[in-house]
Amino acid sequence: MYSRLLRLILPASFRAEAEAEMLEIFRDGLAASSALGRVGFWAKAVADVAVTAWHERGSRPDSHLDQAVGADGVQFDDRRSGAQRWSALALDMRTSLREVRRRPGQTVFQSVTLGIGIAATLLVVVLVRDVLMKPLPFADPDALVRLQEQSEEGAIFWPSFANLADWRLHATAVEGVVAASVGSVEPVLVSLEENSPGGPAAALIGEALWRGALGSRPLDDLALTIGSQEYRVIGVLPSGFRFLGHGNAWLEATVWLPLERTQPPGGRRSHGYHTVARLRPGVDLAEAKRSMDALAARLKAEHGEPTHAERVVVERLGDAVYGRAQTPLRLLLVASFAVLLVACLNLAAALLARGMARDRELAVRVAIGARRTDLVRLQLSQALVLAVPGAVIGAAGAWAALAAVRSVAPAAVPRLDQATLNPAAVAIALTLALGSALVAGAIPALAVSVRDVAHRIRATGSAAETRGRRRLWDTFVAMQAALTLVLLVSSAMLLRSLLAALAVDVGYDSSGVMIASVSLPEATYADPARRVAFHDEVLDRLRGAAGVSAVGLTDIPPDEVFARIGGATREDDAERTMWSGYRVVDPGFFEVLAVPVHSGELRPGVLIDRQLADGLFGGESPIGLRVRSSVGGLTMTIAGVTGPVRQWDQTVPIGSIYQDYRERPDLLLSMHVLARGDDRQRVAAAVRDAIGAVDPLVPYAVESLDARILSSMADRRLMLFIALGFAAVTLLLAATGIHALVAQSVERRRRESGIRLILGARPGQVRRRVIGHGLRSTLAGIAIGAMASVGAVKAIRSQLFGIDTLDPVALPGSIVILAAAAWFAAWLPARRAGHADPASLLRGD
Amino acid sequence: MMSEMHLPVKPSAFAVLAALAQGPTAGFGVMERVNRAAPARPILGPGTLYRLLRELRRSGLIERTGPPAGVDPSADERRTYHRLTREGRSVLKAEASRLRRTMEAAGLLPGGAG
Repeated sequence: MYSRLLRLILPASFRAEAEAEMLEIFRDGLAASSALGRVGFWAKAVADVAVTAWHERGSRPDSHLDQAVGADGVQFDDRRSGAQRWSALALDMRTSLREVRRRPGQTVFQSVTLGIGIAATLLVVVLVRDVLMKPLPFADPDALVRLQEQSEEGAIFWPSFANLADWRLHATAVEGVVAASVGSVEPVLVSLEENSPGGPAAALIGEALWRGALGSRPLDDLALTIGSQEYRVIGVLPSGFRFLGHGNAWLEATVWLPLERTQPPGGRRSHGYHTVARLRPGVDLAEAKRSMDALAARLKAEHGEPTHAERVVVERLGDAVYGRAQTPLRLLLVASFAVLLVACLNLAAALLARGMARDRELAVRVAIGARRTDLVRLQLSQALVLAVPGAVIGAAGAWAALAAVRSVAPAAVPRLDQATLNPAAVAIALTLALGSALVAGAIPALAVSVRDVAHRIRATGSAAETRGRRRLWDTFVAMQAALTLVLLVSSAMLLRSLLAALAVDVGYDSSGVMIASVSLPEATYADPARRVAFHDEVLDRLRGAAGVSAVGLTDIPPDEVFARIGGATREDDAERTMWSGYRVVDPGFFEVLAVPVHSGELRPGVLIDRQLADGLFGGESPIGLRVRSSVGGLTMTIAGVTGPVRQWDQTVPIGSIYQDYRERPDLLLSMHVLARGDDRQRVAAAVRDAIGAVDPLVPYAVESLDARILSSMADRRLMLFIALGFAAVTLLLAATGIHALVAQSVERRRRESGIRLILGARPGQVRRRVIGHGLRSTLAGIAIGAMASVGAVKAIRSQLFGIDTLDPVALPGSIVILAAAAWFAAWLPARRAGHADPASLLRGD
Repeated sequence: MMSEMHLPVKPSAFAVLAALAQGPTAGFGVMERVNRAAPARPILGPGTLYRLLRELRRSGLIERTGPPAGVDPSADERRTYHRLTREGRSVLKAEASRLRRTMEAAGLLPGGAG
């Protein structure tokens, strides 16, 4: 490899003298290095050769030049003043701009190529900056921590109200413990002054609500009625003030109400509050953790109530808010640089081709005294001319991509909605464009050796082909193919894992089911009988509605297995216990979701699912036996067994207990009505009509169950969406790269092809020769890419679901796609070689 | 007199001249001698070395020579041996004394300006 490197970039005369000994020295040195030292040794060796090549190729080839321009070589002063240098640069820029005018099509094409690379990188850079790196908008955000309870078994819970109230009073490591209820649409704060049981009814509102619906009226004039309670507005929170909300999303709330005033404290095992605290000055995370653990143990001993808070999980709020997005975004950042690299290689190949076409011009420049630096500057100025339009296209592309990304996954990634393309981002785009243009311009510039050019002036046009540069071009194409394959395989794996997630048997059929979350105002529905009557009437009306084929009721949606789980225990055997959810439903629940009921009926007694039946009772029939649930708080007689209901990404078995809703009117304030039908719009309208007819003052929201499930996969979909986009543009870039290579090769071999045709070759044979040449480097790239894909799949393993190793479809499938695209890209220009009229081909020269 | 024209000598070139002052050797030997003098941080890579040898040869400070006595020339014919020219030796001396004068002027060597 080292000797290949020498051959590629060192001039022949230098190699003739030193190659053998350099190789020997290199081998000795490599053998003497340790495994780790070899990397450094290689780096040093490459740098050494590069510096040598620069000096050797750049030193003026006196002897050749003399031959080229005659004995009286032009004399010139080597030292130029700064002003001269600038004017030379300006001249080069003018030359390059003239070039643009002469070939507008090529320039547009190359700017777009560069722009695509910039857009991909800029998109992810902006996401990383705005999602991961921007500090949370609070004073000293690093001191903010999230607190959670952790049980003996390691399960993590949102704190219960009683526990967090104790922490607030007794914690020494943290201060200012605040909390908001987990599930509510309007998070509620703990630490207001008004915040005490029976305190005055006061609320904070968000700026958006105040400026929008409330028309920025003075706060003294405002009173909010929520439920049956009237609240005085005591302040407006600036827009951008967010807190942990549903599903750990980072949300802006419209109304903030005092928690202790509105919510019953509940037991130590009723969880449900996002809890945030501030580390006291000088306390670090580990110390806070130790101190909170000790406090939890002490509290447990003191109050002696059952609790899950054996330990306390303390993590930085930033990690809690956007920690999950970290790995996907880092991986996407790497992928976006791969896209940019492919774009650079493409551009470098194009500039190389242009340089090859301009050998004679360059040779003349050398003849009249141009030095290596002059040639390099000319090449770079050509690249720079592309940088500005490239940056503009890149910024526009990133802007469009950002809009598309936001529409795909509004809440999937925290703070995604805050990501914007601001002037700083445009500056990043310009920097990336300049950097890429310099890299892309420098490679061909360095490859053009003054010495080679001097040789060339004596050679005749088309025969003046430098094998080194062809080889370089082939290498570019191979690298593009390799990178493209890696991106294709990675996105194929992501696609497969999303399909695998969708194909998981969750135990119910969500298609065509609309789900309406209904919350009954506590004041008007204080009487439990009224609650039951409300739901009965809504269900009755819906059953009769046109377009609705099945109707059901549940307090916890089927896709939220973790929303309320606890231990389920056999009454006759306290040792047999298992995680289980607890729902209150009506008999229609099983019908509308097509969950099989194997035996028994909902009333009297409860139904349990197959998983719980197997877990607690093994083979024996559970019917008639009794089960105790820590979340239901009851011991219930089992009346039958149903099929299991799972969440798609659930890894541990969790059972289900179903109780008739009429037996638990205490739980009926917040329910979900399910309705199935063929036409979603009609079903949704029927649900709205039914609820509105029974009580127009009851708030509700209708959505499709499928959409809910899809949104729980939103971060996976987002990553897949971006990865597929990257793979597609890279494939396109690689194809255009191959196209250009083959087109140039067709052009170069016109004469040869013409002679072959005259000598009786069939057009097909000529075409195959040309295509074969173009595909050789692609195939080499595919081989390298296939090996690299193994590593890439390892790197993205954490983002995969259902598959974790390179699967037998993704790699061959990607190779077929890439090979087909490459063949097509090569076939287009190759057609010309076969179709051309031999006579005109020969005349052309 | 002529040797003054070449001053000052680049440190790497100085190191190569100094290495060859110990007697003719091939490029490999030069590199070993130079890098042995600065074992912690090898200052010459092979590419740099051969480029320097070429430059020095063009300036007439070193020249090619046959293998020294005792080396079988047929066994090692790929190697190019170099030795200092008279000019090279005087440049080496001139540079060494220039360095010495510099050090003395800076008071870093005994017997200098102080």
